[in-house]
Amino acid sequence: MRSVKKIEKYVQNIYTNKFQVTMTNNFDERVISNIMNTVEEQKTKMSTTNQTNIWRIIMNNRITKFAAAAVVLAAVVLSITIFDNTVQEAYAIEQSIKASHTVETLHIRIYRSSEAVANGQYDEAYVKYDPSGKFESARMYFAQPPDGPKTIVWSNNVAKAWMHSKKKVVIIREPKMAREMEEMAVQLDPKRTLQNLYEMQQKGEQDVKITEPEEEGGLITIEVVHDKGRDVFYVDPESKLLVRFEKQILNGQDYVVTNAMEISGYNEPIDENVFTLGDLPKDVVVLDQVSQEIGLAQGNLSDDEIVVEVATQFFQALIDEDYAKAGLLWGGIPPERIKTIFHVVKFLRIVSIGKVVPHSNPLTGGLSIPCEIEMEHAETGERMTETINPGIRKVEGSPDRWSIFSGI
Amino acid sequence: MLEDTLLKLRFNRGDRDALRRIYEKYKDDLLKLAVALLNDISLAEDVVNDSFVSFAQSIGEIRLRGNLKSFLTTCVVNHARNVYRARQRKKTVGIDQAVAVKSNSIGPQQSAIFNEEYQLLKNAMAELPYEQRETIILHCLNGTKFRPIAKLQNVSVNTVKSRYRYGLDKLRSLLNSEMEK
Repeated sequence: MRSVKKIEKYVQNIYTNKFQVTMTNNFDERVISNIMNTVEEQKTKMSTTNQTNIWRIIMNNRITKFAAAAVVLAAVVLSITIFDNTVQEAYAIEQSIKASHTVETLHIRIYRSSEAVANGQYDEAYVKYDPSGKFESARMYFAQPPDGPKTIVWSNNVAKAWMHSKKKVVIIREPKMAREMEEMAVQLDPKRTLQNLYEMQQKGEQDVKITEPEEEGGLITIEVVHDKGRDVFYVDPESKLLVRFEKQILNGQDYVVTNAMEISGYNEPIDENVFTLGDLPKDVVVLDQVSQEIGLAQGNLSDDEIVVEVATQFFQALIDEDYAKAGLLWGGIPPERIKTIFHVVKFLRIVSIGKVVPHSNPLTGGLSIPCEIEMEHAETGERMTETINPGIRKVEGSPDRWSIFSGI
Repeated sequence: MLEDTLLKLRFNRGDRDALRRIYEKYKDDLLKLAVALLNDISLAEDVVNDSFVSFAQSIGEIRLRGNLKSFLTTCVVNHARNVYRARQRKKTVGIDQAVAVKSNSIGPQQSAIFNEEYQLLKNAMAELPYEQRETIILHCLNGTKFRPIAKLQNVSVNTVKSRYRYGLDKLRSLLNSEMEK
Protein backbone atom coordinates (compact mmCIF):
# COMPACT_ATOMS: atom_id res chain seq x y z
CA MET A 1 0.00 0.00 0.00
CA ARG A 2 1.19 3.49 -0.75
CA SER A 3 1.14 5.96 2.11
CA VAL A 4 -0.55 9.33 1.74
CA LYS A 5 2.88 10.96 1.76
CA LYS A 6 3.99 8.75 -1.10
CA ILE A 7 0.82 9.51 -3.03
CA GLU A 8 1.47 13.20 -2.50
CA LYS A 9 4.98 12.87 -3.92
CA TYR A 10 3.68 10.70 -6.75
CA VAL A 11 1.07 13.32 -7.68
CA GLN A 12 3.62 16.13 -7.46
CA ASN A 13 6.05 14.20 -9.61
CA ILE A 14 3.48 13.53 -12.31
CA TYR A 15 2.28 17.12 -12.40
CA THR A 16 5.85 18.40 -12.45
CA ASN A 17 7.45 16.01 -14.90
CA LYS A 18 4.82 14.15 -16.86
CA PHE A 19 2.04 16.60 -17.49
CA GLN A 20 2.53 18.57 -20.64
CA VAL A 21 -0.14 20.61 -22.37
CA THR A 22 0.02 21.73 -25.96
CA MET A 23 -2.29 24.57 -26.85
CA THR A 24 -4.29 24.53 -30.04
CA ASN A 25 -3.13 26.35 -33.14
CA ASN A 26 -3.78 30.08 -33.11
CA PHE A 27 -4.65 30.07 -29.42
CA ASP A 28 -1.98 32.67 -28.69
CA GLU A 29 -3.14 34.86 -31.54
CA ARG A 30 -6.74 34.57 -30.44
CA VAL A 31 -6.08 35.49 -26.82
CA ILE A 32 -3.67 38.30 -27.62
CA SER A 33 -6.10 39.68 -30.15
CA ASN A 34 -8.93 39.50 -27.61
CA ILE A 35 -7.01 41.17 -24.83
CA MET A 36 -5.63 43.86 -27.12
CA ASN A 37 -9.12 44.59 -28.40
CA THR A 38 -10.29 44.75 -24.82
CA VAL A 39 -7.58 47.23 -23.96
CA GLU A 40 -8.49 49.21 -27.05
CA GLU A 41 -12.06 49.30 -25.86
CA GLN A 42 -10.86 50.56 -22.53
CA LYS A 43 -9.29 53.39 -24.49
CA THR A 44 -6.00 52.92 -22.79
CA LYS A 45 -3.25 53.51 -25.26
CA MET A 46 0.33 53.93 -24.35
CA SER A 47 3.56 53.24 -26.19
CA THR A 48 6.09 51.05 -24.53
CA THR A 49 8.94 48.79 -25.32
CA ASN A 50 8.71 45.11 -25.66
CA GLN A 51 10.49 42.72 -23.44
CA THR A 52 11.73 39.36 -24.36
CA ASN A 53 11.31 36.39 -22.18
CA ILE A 54 14.60 35.80 -20.45
CA TRP A 55 13.26 35.37 -16.96
CA ARG A 56 12.50 32.55 -14.67
CA ILE A 57 14.22 30.29 -17.14
CA ILE A 58 17.62 30.62 -15.61
CA MET A 59 16.66 27.98 -13.11
CA ASN A 60 15.64 25.73 -15.93
CA ASN A 61 18.86 26.00 -17.84
CA ARG A 62 20.93 23.56 -15.87
CA ILE A 63 22.77 21.32 -18.18
CA THR A 64 21.76 18.46 -15.94
CA LYS A 65 18.27 18.86 -17.33
CA PHE A 66 19.28 17.69 -20.73
CA ALA A 67 21.81 15.31 -19.32
CA ALA A 68 18.88 13.77 -17.49
CA ALA A 69 16.92 13.75 -20.71
CA ALA A 70 19.81 11.99 -22.36
CA VAL A 71 19.76 9.35 -19.69
CA VAL A 72 16.05 8.83 -20.28
CA LEU A 73 16.80 8.54 -23.96
CA ALA A 74 19.38 5.92 -23.26
CA ALA A 75 17.15 4.13 -20.81
CA VAL A 76 14.89 3.09 -23.65
CA VAL A 77 17.74 1.09 -25.06
CA LEU A 78 18.67 -0.39 -21.74
CA SER A 79 15.25 -1.64 -20.96
CA ILE A 80 15.90 -5.31 -21.48
CA THR A 81 14.82 -6.77 -18.21
CA ILE A 82 13.17 -10.01 -17.24
CA PHE A 83 12.98 -13.04 -19.46
CA ASP A 84 12.06 -16.69 -19.23
CA ASN A 85 13.29 -19.62 -21.26
CA THR A 86 15.20 -19.73 -24.50
CA VAL A 87 14.13 -20.42 -28.05
CA GLN A 88 16.83 -21.08 -30.61
CA GLU A 89 16.32 -19.64 -34.08
CA ALA A 90 18.06 -19.59 -37.41
CA TYR A 91 19.03 -15.98 -37.08
CA ALA A 92 21.97 -15.47 -34.77
CA ILE A 93 22.23 -12.32 -32.73
CA GLU A 94 26.00 -12.40 -33.10
CA GLN A 95 25.55 -11.40 -36.72
CA SER A 96 24.08 -8.08 -35.65
CA ILE A 97 26.77 -7.52 -33.08
CA LYS A 98 29.40 -8.06 -35.71
CA ALA A 99 27.61 -5.88 -38.21
CA SER A 100 27.29 -2.93 -35.85
CA HIS A 101 30.82 -3.08 -34.61
CA THR A 102 32.08 -0.14 -36.63
CA VAL A 103 29.35 2.44 -36.17
CA GLU A 104 30.62 6.01 -36.53
CA THR A 105 27.44 8.03 -37.01
CA LEU A 106 23.83 7.52 -36.01
CA HIS A 107 20.53 9.26 -36.44
CA ILE A 108 18.02 8.42 -33.72
CA ARG A 109 14.39 9.23 -33.16
CA ILE A 110 12.74 8.65 -29.81
CA TYR A 111 9.00 8.39 -29.26
CA ARG A 112 8.33 8.83 -25.57
CA SER A 113 4.70 7.76 -25.21
CA SER A 114 1.95 5.93 -27.03
CA GLU A 115 0.49 9.33 -27.96
CA ALA A 116 3.85 10.39 -29.35
CA VAL A 117 3.98 7.20 -31.41
CA ALA A 118 0.44 7.79 -32.70
CA ASN A 119 1.06 11.47 -33.44
CA GLY A 120 4.53 11.07 -34.87
CA GLN A 121 6.10 13.32 -32.21
CA TYR A 122 9.68 12.45 -31.54
CA ASP A 123 12.88 13.63 -29.99
CA GLU A 124 15.82 13.40 -32.30
CA ALA A 125 19.57 12.98 -32.03
CA TYR A 126 22.48 12.92 -34.41
CA VAL A 127 25.61 11.44 -32.88
CA LYS A 128 29.08 11.15 -34.25
CA TYR A 129 32.07 9.15 -33.12
CA ASP A 130 35.66 9.76 -34.14
CA PRO A 131 37.47 7.03 -36.10
CA SER A 132 38.65 5.41 -32.89
CA GLY A 133 35.07 5.06 -31.73
CA LYS A 134 35.18 7.89 -29.20
CA PHE A 135 32.13 10.13 -29.01
CA GLU A 136 32.76 13.39 -30.79
CA SER A 137 29.65 15.51 -31.44
CA ALA A 138 25.90 15.47 -31.02
CA ARG A 139 22.82 17.37 -31.89
CA MET A 140 19.70 16.62 -29.92
CA TYR A 141 16.21 17.96 -30.19
CA PHE A 142 13.74 17.49 -27.36
CA ALA A 143 10.22 18.20 -28.54
CA GLN A 144 8.28 18.41 -25.30
CA PRO A 145 10.28 18.73 -22.10
CA PRO A 146 8.40 20.53 -19.29
CA ASP A 147 10.11 23.85 -20.03
CA GLY A 148 9.58 23.80 -23.78
CA PRO A 149 11.37 22.50 -26.88
CA LYS A 150 15.15 22.51 -26.83
CA THR A 151 17.91 22.00 -29.34
CA ILE A 152 21.29 21.09 -27.93
CA VAL A 153 24.56 20.80 -29.78
CA TRP A 154 27.68 19.50 -28.16
CA SER A 155 31.22 19.34 -29.41
CA ASN A 156 34.71 20.10 -28.12
CA ASN A 157 33.46 20.03 -24.54
CA VAL A 158 31.11 22.95 -25.12
CA ALA A 159 27.34 22.56 -25.00
CA LYS A 160 24.96 25.06 -26.53
CA ALA A 161 21.33 24.77 -25.51
CA TRP A 162 18.69 26.68 -27.42
CA MET A 163 15.44 26.95 -25.52
CA HIS A 164 13.07 27.82 -28.35
CA SER A 165 10.02 29.11 -26.53
CA LYS A 166 12.20 31.07 -24.11
CA LYS A 167 14.22 32.60 -26.93
CA LYS A 168 17.44 31.90 -25.18
CA VAL A 169 20.72 30.12 -25.83
CA VAL A 170 23.01 29.09 -23.01
CA ILE A 171 26.60 28.23 -23.89
CA ILE A 172 28.48 26.38 -21.21
CA ARG A 173 31.56 24.30 -20.70
CA GLU A 174 30.37 21.27 -18.86
CA PRO A 175 32.49 18.19 -18.11
CA LYS A 176 29.58 16.39 -16.47
CA MET A 177 27.62 16.86 -19.65
CA ALA A 178 30.51 15.43 -21.64
CA ARG A 179 30.54 12.32 -19.52
CA GLU A 180 26.78 11.95 -19.77
CA MET A 181 26.87 12.32 -23.52
CA GLU A 182 29.68 9.82 -23.87
CA GLU A 183 27.78 7.39 -21.71
CA MET A 184 24.66 7.95 -23.74
CA ALA A 185 26.53 7.47 -26.99
CA VAL A 186 27.88 4.19 -25.74
CA GLN A 187 24.42 3.09 -24.68
CA LEU A 188 22.89 4.13 -27.97
CA ASP A 189 25.39 2.07 -29.88
CA PRO A 190 23.21 -0.78 -31.18
CA LYS A 191 25.97 -3.27 -30.72
CA ARG A 192 25.77 -2.68 -26.98
CA THR A 193 22.09 -3.41 -26.96
CA LEU A 194 22.59 -6.57 -28.91
CA GLN A 195 25.60 -7.47 -26.82
CA ASN A 196 23.46 -7.20 -23.69
CA LEU A 197 20.76 -9.25 -25.33
CA TYR A 198 23.24 -11.84 -26.46
CA GLU A 199 24.91 -12.12 -23.07
CA MET A 200 21.58 -12.49 -21.33
CA GLN A 201 20.55 -15.10 -23.84
CA GLN A 202 23.77 -17.00 -23.24
CA LYS A 203 23.09 -16.94 -19.52
CA GLY A 204 19.62 -18.30 -20.13
CA GLU A 205 18.07 -15.23 -18.52
CA GLN A 206 15.72 -14.44 -21.35
CA ASP A 207 13.14 -15.77 -23.71
CA VAL A 208 13.97 -14.60 -27.20
CA LYS A 209 11.72 -15.21 -30.15
CA ILE A 210 13.31 -14.42 -33.48
CA THR A 211 11.19 -14.19 -36.61
CA GLU A 212 12.67 -14.02 -40.08
CA PRO A 213 10.84 -11.71 -42.49
CA GLU A 214 8.20 -13.42 -44.60
CA GLU A 215 8.40 -10.88 -47.39
CA GLU A 216 11.30 -9.38 -49.22
CA GLY A 217 12.28 -6.08 -47.68
CA GLY A 218 10.86 -7.06 -44.31
CA LEU A 219 12.73 -6.89 -41.03
CA ILE A 220 13.90 -9.58 -38.66
CA THR A 221 12.10 -9.20 -35.34
CA ILE A 222 13.61 -10.15 -32.01
CA GLU A 223 10.90 -10.36 -29.41
CA VAL A 224 11.67 -10.49 -25.72
CA VAL A 225 8.66 -11.17 -23.52
CA HIS A 226 8.43 -10.24 -19.88
CA ASP A 227 5.64 -10.08 -17.34
CA LYS A 228 4.34 -6.60 -18.22
CA GLY A 229 4.79 -6.73 -21.96
CA ARG A 230 7.56 -7.21 -24.45
CA ASP A 231 10.53 -5.51 -26.04
CA VAL A 232 10.73 -5.84 -29.80
CA PHE A 233 13.92 -5.26 -31.78
CA TYR A 234 13.74 -4.90 -35.56
CA VAL A 235 16.90 -5.79 -37.44
CA ASP A 236 17.71 -5.16 -41.09
CA PRO A 237 18.26 -8.61 -42.68
CA GLU A 238 20.88 -7.28 -45.09
CA SER A 239 23.05 -5.13 -42.82
CA LYS A 240 22.10 -6.96 -39.61
CA LEU A 241 21.79 -3.58 -37.93
CA LEU A 242 19.13 -2.67 -35.39
CA VAL A 243 16.76 -0.18 -37.01
CA ARG A 244 13.90 0.06 -34.52
CA PHE A 245 13.18 -0.78 -30.94
CA GLU A 246 9.73 -0.83 -29.34
CA LYS A 247 8.66 -1.21 -25.76
CA GLN A 248 5.16 -2.65 -25.68
CA ILE A 249 2.77 -3.28 -22.82
CA LEU A 250 -0.26 -5.51 -22.71
CA ASN A 251 -3.54 -3.65 -22.77
CA GLY A 252 -6.18 -6.35 -22.51
CA GLN A 253 -5.31 -8.79 -25.27
CA ASP A 254 -3.38 -6.30 -27.37
CA TYR A 255 0.11 -4.94 -27.21
CA VAL A 256 0.43 -1.15 -27.19
CA VAL A 257 3.69 0.59 -28.07
CA THR A 258 4.63 2.88 -25.18
CA ASN A 259 8.12 3.89 -26.28
CA ALA A 260 9.95 3.50 -29.53
CA MET A 261 13.31 4.32 -30.98
CA GLU A 262 14.31 4.38 -34.62
CA ILE A 263 17.94 4.23 -35.58
CA SER A 264 19.14 5.12 -39.05
CA GLY A 265 22.01 6.84 -40.78
CA TYR A 266 24.61 4.27 -39.87
CA ASN A 267 27.94 5.71 -40.95
CA GLU A 268 26.28 8.16 -43.29
CA PRO A 269 28.28 11.39 -43.34
CA ILE A 270 26.74 14.17 -41.26
CA ASP A 271 27.27 17.76 -42.36
CA GLU A 272 29.28 19.55 -39.70
CA ASN A 273 26.67 22.32 -39.72
CA VAL A 274 24.31 19.88 -38.04
CA PHE A 275 26.45 20.23 -34.94
CA THR A 276 26.01 23.99 -34.80
CA LEU A 277 22.91 26.02 -33.97
CA GLY A 278 23.24 27.94 -37.23
CA ASP A 279 21.64 31.35 -37.59
CA LEU A 280 19.52 32.13 -34.58
CA PRO A 281 16.47 34.41 -34.65
CA LYS A 282 17.34 38.01 -33.81
CA ASP A 283 15.34 38.05 -30.61
CA VAL A 284 17.25 35.15 -29.07
CA VAL A 285 19.36 36.14 -26.09
CA VAL A 286 22.72 34.37 -25.89
CA LEU A 287 24.18 33.70 -22.46
CA ASP A 288 27.77 32.86 -23.20
CA GLN A 289 29.31 31.31 -20.13
CA VAL A 290 32.36 30.03 -21.96
CA SER A 291 34.01 33.09 -23.46
CA GLN A 292 33.36 35.31 -20.43
CA GLU A 293 33.92 34.76 -16.75
CA ILE A 294 30.58 34.55 -15.00
CA GLY A 295 29.86 35.38 -11.37
CA LEU A 296 32.28 35.82 -8.50
CA ALA A 297 35.10 33.57 -7.35
CA GLN A 298 34.38 32.03 -3.96
CA GLY A 299 37.95 32.19 -2.70
CA ASN A 300 38.00 31.69 1.05
CA LEU A 301 34.40 32.74 1.55
CA SER A 302 31.83 30.31 2.89
CA ASP A 303 28.80 29.48 0.74
CA ASP A 304 26.63 31.92 2.70
CA GLU A 305 29.23 34.66 2.46
CA ILE A 306 29.68 34.33 -1.31
CA VAL A 307 25.90 34.42 -1.79
CA VAL A 308 25.71 37.68 0.18
CA GLU A 309 28.61 39.06 -1.84
CA VAL A 310 27.08 38.16 -5.21
CA ALA A 311 23.72 39.67 -4.26
CA THR A 312 25.29 42.83 -2.84
CA GLN A 313 27.54 43.38 -5.85
CA PHE A 314 24.69 42.71 -8.27
CA PHE A 315 22.35 45.28 -6.77
CA GLN A 316 25.18 47.76 -6.30
CA ALA A 317 25.99 47.34 -10.00
CA LEU A 318 22.36 48.14 -10.84
CA ILE A 319 22.48 51.20 -8.60
CA ASP A 320 25.70 52.27 -10.35
CA GLU A 321 24.11 51.44 -13.72
CA ASP A 322 27.08 49.18 -14.40
CA TYR A 323 25.06 46.77 -16.56
CA ALA A 324 28.09 44.86 -17.80
CA LYS A 325 28.99 43.87 -14.28
CA ALA A 326 25.37 43.12 -13.39
CA GLY A 327 25.12 40.89 -16.47
CA LEU A 328 28.17 38.88 -15.52
CA LEU A 329 26.80 38.38 -12.03
CA TRP A 330 23.48 37.30 -13.51
CA GLY A 331 24.49 34.34 -15.64
CA GLY A 332 26.05 36.31 -18.49
CA ILE A 333 23.06 38.32 -19.70
CA PRO A 334 24.23 40.97 -22.18
CA PRO A 335 24.38 44.49 -20.67
CA GLU A 336 22.12 46.04 -23.30
CA ARG A 337 19.47 43.48 -22.37
CA ILE A 338 19.69 44.35 -18.70
CA LYS A 339 19.43 48.01 -19.55
CA THR A 340 16.28 47.34 -21.56
CA ILE A 341 14.78 45.26 -18.80
CA PHE A 342 15.30 47.81 -16.07
CA HIS A 343 14.60 50.98 -18.02
CA VAL A 344 11.40 51.67 -16.10
CA VAL A 345 13.08 51.96 -12.71
CA LYS A 346 16.09 53.53 -11.11
CA PHE A 347 17.72 51.56 -8.31
CA LEU A 348 18.48 53.79 -5.32
CA ARG A 349 19.91 51.77 -2.47
CA ILE A 350 20.17 48.40 -0.78
CA VAL A 351 17.96 48.66 2.28
CA SER A 352 18.88 45.29 3.74
CA ILE A 353 20.31 41.91 2.88
CA GLY A 354 18.64 39.03 4.72
CA LYS A 355 19.61 35.53 5.73
CA VAL A 356 20.74 32.93 3.22
CA VAL A 357 18.30 30.03 2.86
CA PRO A 358 18.06 27.00 0.54
CA HIS A 359 16.39 27.78 -2.77
CA SER A 360 12.68 27.00 -2.87
CA ASN A 361 13.34 24.47 -5.63
CA PRO A 362 15.86 22.01 -4.17
CA LEU A 363 16.51 20.54 -7.62
CA THR A 364 18.39 23.70 -8.56
CA GLY A 365 20.98 23.09 -5.85
CA GLY A 366 21.03 26.82 -5.20
CA LEU A 367 20.65 29.20 -2.31
CA SER A 368 18.40 32.19 -1.99
CA ILE A 369 18.70 35.49 -0.15
CA PRO A 370 16.04 38.15 0.49
CA CYS A 371 17.22 41.62 -0.49
CA GLU A 372 15.25 44.79 0.22
CA ILE A 373 15.92 47.30 -2.51
CA GLU A 374 14.67 50.85 -2.76
CA MET A 375 13.92 52.05 -6.26
CA GLU A 376 11.92 54.69 -8.03
CA HIS A 377 9.89 54.79 -11.19
CA ALA A 378 12.03 56.35 -13.92
CA GLU A 379 9.22 58.57 -15.17
CA THR A 380 7.01 59.35 -12.21
CA GLY A 381 9.62 59.27 -9.47
CA GLU A 382 7.30 57.05 -7.42
CA ARG A 383 9.45 55.38 -4.75
CA MET A 384 9.02 51.85 -3.49
CA THR A 385 10.90 49.24 -1.54
CA GLU A 386 10.77 45.72 -2.95
CA THR A 387 12.00 42.45 -1.51
CA ILE A 388 13.78 40.45 -4.18
CA ASN A 389 14.96 36.90 -3.62
CA PRO A 390 17.74 36.11 -6.08
CA GLY A 391 18.66 32.44 -6.44
CA ILE A 392 22.42 32.02 -6.45
CA ARG A 393 24.51 28.95 -7.11
CA LYS A 394 27.77 27.66 -8.51
CA VAL A 395 28.34 28.37 -12.18
CA GLU A 396 28.04 25.27 -14.37
CA GLY A 397 31.50 24.15 -15.37
CA SER A 398 33.16 26.64 -12.97
CA PRO A 399 32.31 25.36 -9.51
CA ASP A 400 34.60 27.90 -7.85
CA ARG A 401 32.38 30.73 -9.08
CA TRP A 402 28.85 31.73 -8.07
CA SER A 403 26.23 33.68 -9.96
CA ILE A 404 22.55 34.55 -9.91
CA PHE A 405 20.31 32.10 -11.75
CA SER A 406 16.75 32.98 -10.72
CA GLY A 407 14.47 35.19 -8.71
CA ILE A 408 15.17 38.49 -10.43
CA MET B 1 10.26 38.75 -8.56
CA LEU B 2 11.60 42.03 -9.75
CA GLU B 3 10.28 41.49 -13.24
CA ASP B 4 6.75 41.20 -11.88
CA THR B 5 7.21 44.42 -9.98
CA LEU B 6 8.21 46.14 -13.20
CA LEU B 7 5.31 44.54 -15.06
CA LYS B 8 2.84 45.64 -12.42
CA LEU B 9 4.16 49.19 -12.61
CA ARG B 10 3.74 49.20 -16.35
CA PHE B 11 0.33 47.51 -16.21
CA ASN B 12 -0.90 50.05 -13.69
CA ARG B 13 0.02 52.76 -16.15
CA GLY B 14 -1.96 51.07 -18.92
CA ASP B 15 1.00 49.57 -20.77
CA ARG B 16 -0.37 47.10 -23.33
CA ASP B 17 2.96 45.44 -23.91
CA ALA B 18 3.22 44.74 -20.20
CA LEU B 19 -0.10 42.95 -20.50
CA ARG B 20 1.18 40.95 -23.45
CA ARG B 21 4.33 40.07 -21.52
CA ILE B 22 2.29 38.99 -18.51
CA TYR B 23 0.30 36.74 -20.81
CA GLU B 24 3.45 35.28 -22.39
CA LYS B 25 5.00 34.70 -19.02
CA TYR B 26 2.12 32.96 -17.30
CA LYS B 27 -0.01 31.44 -20.07
CA ASP B 28 1.62 27.99 -19.93
CA ASP B 29 1.28 27.60 -16.17
CA LEU B 30 -2.29 28.90 -16.23
CA LEU B 31 -3.29 26.67 -19.12
CA LYS B 32 -1.84 23.66 -17.34
CA LEU B 33 -3.78 24.58 -14.24
CA ALA B 34 -7.01 24.96 -16.19
CA VAL B 35 -6.52 21.67 -18.06
CA ALA B 36 -5.83 19.88 -14.79
CA LEU B 37 -8.96 21.36 -13.23
CA LEU B 38 -11.29 20.74 -16.14
CA ASN B 39 -9.68 17.83 -18.03
CA ASP B 40 -10.62 19.50 -21.26
CA ILE B 41 -8.24 21.49 -23.42
CA SER B 42 -10.94 23.52 -25.19
CA LEU B 43 -12.68 24.54 -21.97
CA ALA B 44 -9.31 25.27 -20.40
CA GLU B 45 -8.35 27.54 -23.26
CA ASP B 46 -11.63 29.39 -22.93
CA VAL B 47 -11.02 29.84 -19.23
CA VAL B 48 -7.53 31.25 -19.80
CA ASN B 49 -8.84 33.51 -22.55
CA ASP B 50 -11.69 34.80 -20.39
CA SER B 51 -9.39 35.33 -17.44
CA PHE B 52 -7.02 37.46 -19.47
CA VAL B 53 -9.84 39.41 -21.06
CA SER B 54 -11.16 40.23 -17.56
CA PHE B 55 -7.65 41.14 -16.54
CA ALA B 56 -7.25 43.36 -19.60
CA GLN B 57 -10.47 45.16 -18.72
CA SER B 58 -8.84 46.39 -15.55
CA ILE B 59 -5.67 47.75 -17.14
CA GLY B 60 -4.87 51.26 -15.95
CA GLU B 61 -7.91 51.17 -13.67
CA ILE B 62 -6.78 49.01 -10.79
CA ARG B 63 -3.51 49.19 -8.94
CA LEU B 64 -2.05 45.74 -8.90
CA ARG B 65 -0.38 44.91 -5.63
CA GLY B 66 0.78 41.62 -4.23
CA ASN B 67 1.81 38.57 -6.15
CA LEU B 68 1.01 38.74 -9.86
CA LYS B 69 0.93 34.99 -10.38
CA SER B 70 -1.39 34.49 -7.40
CA PHE B 71 -3.72 37.12 -8.80
CA LEU B 72 -3.89 35.40 -12.19
CA THR B 73 -4.20 31.98 -10.58
CA THR B 74 -7.20 33.20 -8.64
CA CYS B 75 -8.78 34.50 -11.87
CA VAL B 76 -8.31 31.15 -13.60
CA VAL B 77 -9.47 29.05 -10.65
CA ASN B 78 -12.62 31.14 -10.25
CA HIS B 79 -13.40 31.00 -13.96
CA ALA B 80 -12.73 27.25 -14.06
CA ARG B 81 -15.01 26.70 -11.08
CA ASN B 82 -17.77 28.67 -12.77
CA VAL B 83 -17.38 26.66 -15.95
CA TYR B 84 -17.43 23.41 -14.01
CA ARG B 85 -20.59 24.38 -12.12
CA ALA B 86 -22.29 25.57 -15.27
CA ARG B 87 -21.57 22.22 -16.89
CA GLN B 88 -22.82 20.39 -13.82
CA ARG B 89 -26.05 22.36 -13.90
CA LYS B 90 -26.68 21.47 -17.51
CA LYS B 91 -26.34 17.80 -16.66
CA THR B 92 -26.52 16.82 -20.27
CA VAL B 93 -23.29 15.00 -19.96
CA GLY B 94 -20.87 14.81 -17.06
CA ILE B 95 -17.71 16.72 -17.62
CA ASP B 96 -15.49 13.72 -17.16
CA GLN B 97 -17.54 11.70 -19.60
CA ALA B 98 -17.27 14.60 -22.01
CA VAL B 99 -13.55 14.57 -21.54
CA ALA B 100 -13.38 10.86 -22.15
CA VAL B 101 -15.17 11.30 -25.44
CA LYS B 102 -13.13 14.34 -26.30
CA SER B 103 -9.74 12.93 -25.55
CA ASN B 104 -10.32 10.18 -28.05
CA SER B 105 -10.64 12.71 -30.79
CA ILE B 106 -7.67 14.84 -29.85
CA GLY B 107 -5.32 15.22 -32.79
CA PRO B 108 -1.65 16.06 -32.90
CA GLN B 109 -2.25 19.79 -33.16
CA GLN B 110 -4.95 19.85 -30.52
CA SER B 111 -3.73 17.76 -27.76
CA ALA B 112 -2.98 17.55 -24.14
CA ILE B 113 -0.05 15.21 -24.05
CA PHE B 114 -0.77 12.67 -21.42
CA ASN B 115 1.35 9.70 -20.70
CA GLU B 116 0.08 6.56 -19.09
CA GLU B 117 0.85 7.64 -15.53
CA TYR B 118 -0.89 10.95 -16.03
CA GLN B 119 -3.84 9.12 -17.52
CA LEU B 120 -4.13 7.04 -14.35
CA LEU B 121 -3.91 10.11 -12.17
CA LYS B 122 -6.40 12.02 -14.30
CA ASN B 123 -8.95 9.24 -14.03
CA ALA B 124 -8.49 9.04 -10.28
CA MET B 125 -8.74 12.82 -9.87
CA ALA B 126 -12.00 12.78 -11.81
CA GLU B 127 -13.45 10.64 -9.01
CA LEU B 128 -12.84 13.32 -6.39
CA PRO B 129 -15.30 16.04 -5.37
CA TYR B 130 -14.36 19.24 -7.22
CA GLU B 131 -13.22 21.11 -4.09
CA GLN B 132 -10.81 18.31 -3.19
CA ARG B 133 -9.53 18.10 -6.74
CA GLU B 134 -9.03 21.86 -6.86
CA THR B 135 -7.15 21.81 -3.56
CA ILE B 136 -4.81 19.01 -4.61
CA ILE B 137 -4.14 20.57 -7.99
CA LEU B 138 -3.43 24.00 -6.52
CA HIS B 139 -1.07 22.54 -3.95
CA CYS B 140 0.67 19.85 -5.99
CA LEU B 141 0.71 21.40 -9.46
CA ASN B 142 0.76 25.09 -8.69
CA GLY B 143 2.67 24.97 -5.42
CA THR B 144 0.06 27.14 -3.70
CA LYS B 145 0.19 26.97 0.07
CA PHE B 146 -2.87 26.14 2.17
CA ARG B 147 -3.48 29.66 3.47
CA PRO B 148 -3.84 31.26 0.02
CA ILE B 149 -5.99 28.32 -1.07
CA ALA B 150 -8.24 28.95 1.92
CA LYS B 151 -8.54 32.59 0.92
CA LEU B 152 -9.28 31.62 -2.64
CA GLN B 153 -11.92 29.07 -1.65
CA ASN B 154 -13.29 31.35 1.07
CA VAL B 155 -13.01 28.66 3.73
CA SER B 156 -10.79 28.10 6.76
CA VAL B 157 -7.27 26.73 6.48
CA ASN B 158 -8.39 23.65 8.40
CA THR B 159 -11.10 22.99 5.85
CA VAL B 160 -8.52 23.20 3.08
CA LYS B 161 -6.23 20.80 4.92
CA SER B 162 -9.13 18.41 5.37
CA ARG B 163 -10.02 18.60 1.70
CA TYR B 164 -6.42 17.92 0.83
CA ARG B 165 -6.14 15.01 3.22
CA TYR B 166 -9.45 13.42 2.21
CA GLY B 167 -8.59 13.90 -1.44
CA LEU B 168 -5.21 12.24 -1.07
CA ASP B 169 -6.76 9.42 0.94
CA LYS B 170 -9.22 8.74 -1.84
CA LEU B 171 -6.48 9.00 -4.46
CA ARG B 172 -4.45 6.54 -2.46
CA SER B 173 -7.16 3.93 -2.54
CA LEU B 174 -7.92 4.57 -6.20
CA LEU B 175 -4.30 4.56 -7.30
CA ASN B 176 -3.26 1.65 -5.12
CA SER B 177 -5.76 -0.58 -6.85
CA GLU B 178 -4.49 0.62 -10.22
CA MET B 179 -0.83 0.34 -9.32
CA GLU B 180 -1.23 -3.20 -8.04
CA LYS B 181 -2.56 -4.44 -11.37
